[in-house]
Amino acid sequence: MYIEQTSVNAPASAERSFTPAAPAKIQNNPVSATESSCSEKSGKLPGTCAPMAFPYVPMQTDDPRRYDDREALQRGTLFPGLDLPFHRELKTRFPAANTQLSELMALDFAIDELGLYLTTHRNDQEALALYWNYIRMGREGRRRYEEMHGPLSKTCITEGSFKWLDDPWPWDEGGNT
Amino acid sequence: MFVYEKKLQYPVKIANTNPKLAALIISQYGGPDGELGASLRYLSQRYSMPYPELKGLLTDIGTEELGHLEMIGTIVHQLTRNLNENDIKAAGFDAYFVDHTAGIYPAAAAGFPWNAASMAVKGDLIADLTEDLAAEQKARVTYDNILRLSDDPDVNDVIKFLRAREVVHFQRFGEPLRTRWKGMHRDLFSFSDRSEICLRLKMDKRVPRHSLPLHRGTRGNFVVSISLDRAFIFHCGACRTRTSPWRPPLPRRTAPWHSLGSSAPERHSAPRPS
Repeated sequence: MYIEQTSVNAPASAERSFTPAAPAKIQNNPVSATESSCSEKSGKLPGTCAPMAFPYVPMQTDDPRRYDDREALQRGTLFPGLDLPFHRELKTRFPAANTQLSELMALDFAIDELGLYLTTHRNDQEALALYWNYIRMGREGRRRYEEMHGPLSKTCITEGSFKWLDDPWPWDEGGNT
Repeated sequence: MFVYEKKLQYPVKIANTNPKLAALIISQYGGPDGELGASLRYLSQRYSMPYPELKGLLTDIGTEELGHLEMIGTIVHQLTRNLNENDIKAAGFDAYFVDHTAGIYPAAAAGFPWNAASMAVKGDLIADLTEDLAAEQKARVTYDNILRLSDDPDVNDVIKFLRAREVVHFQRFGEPLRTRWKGMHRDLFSFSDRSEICLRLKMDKRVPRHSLPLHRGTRGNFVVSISLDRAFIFHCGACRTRTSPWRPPLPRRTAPWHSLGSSAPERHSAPRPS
């Protein structure tokens, strides 16, 4: 939108729009007593007012209840509050991954999920402490996995040969279980 | 910089081949609401995001979607291994097979190849995040539909996980809209003004530049670029920052262009500047 104000003397009527208008009238009207708590450009959300014409998703509360990392991976979320499956009765058949890999996947998943949560809740100290705790555990889990099953990262120093290239890769049969 | 890690986010172990199902699931690889489009959408939208939590969110979720792309590719790969000629013909996989054999190609279930037209980068916070909310719901519905069509428990286990991630991503994409809009000078800008406008106007040198960009009796051309909760005033010609950042003035003291949509009768009768 472009507005060019070319006239040095703007119309007098434009001046009027600088004056406070209307709100006193709305507040005194008993019929709209409930609406008066929100300004005319706001609408009601449960318990609060918010600007209209914007989508609202409720903010997840700080330090929400959590699954443990293993259950979180099986459910696809760390938070019971966000666990909204297509069919409740669809049971998870978590493939029997080897212990080191499934432990590491669960830890890494908890790290991803908490990291995402912290992006929008950066002041939640409890979650941050847990996040760092999971990262420490993840390092240990990674070390255990790599000892048994070879490198996860190309820059791992592997004794004897360049084991990074060894099969199976994650998409191969048996590559991730 | 991206670093590859030689593992999946969630284990994929498909016991039985099923090319017919593979030809449907390929849609989440390269279809209109698939993981390829999701990751490119988010990773491309990052650059114009003005707030750190939005840059972080789009980076994190865009990266996770790349991991999901790998999981979908793995499902299709494992569903189509060891095929013989009869399997291919009987399962209706031949149309895909003739072009791609048993390779993984980003295409929709209906056969058309991945198209950047199925995603959008608008360069505007509200438009892009609203697009992302819709994208997560569309991906969620596609996973619902796969669960409706598939009776392979090994496949459904992974699809269920991916579906749950869409729900969480929707929540996260919704949260910044709330944090960023709550408490803003919401009366100041009409809807179309809010995200990005450029106003050409003349500045009154007698008025402090930070207080009122639109004021009667002005001199000199300036461009005011108003984005979200701050505005930058530029010289029209040079477009250099003149004063920054500029905080919006209190709503009812501002200029006629904000009276769009107001209910005050005298504002409606006021002639607009032309």
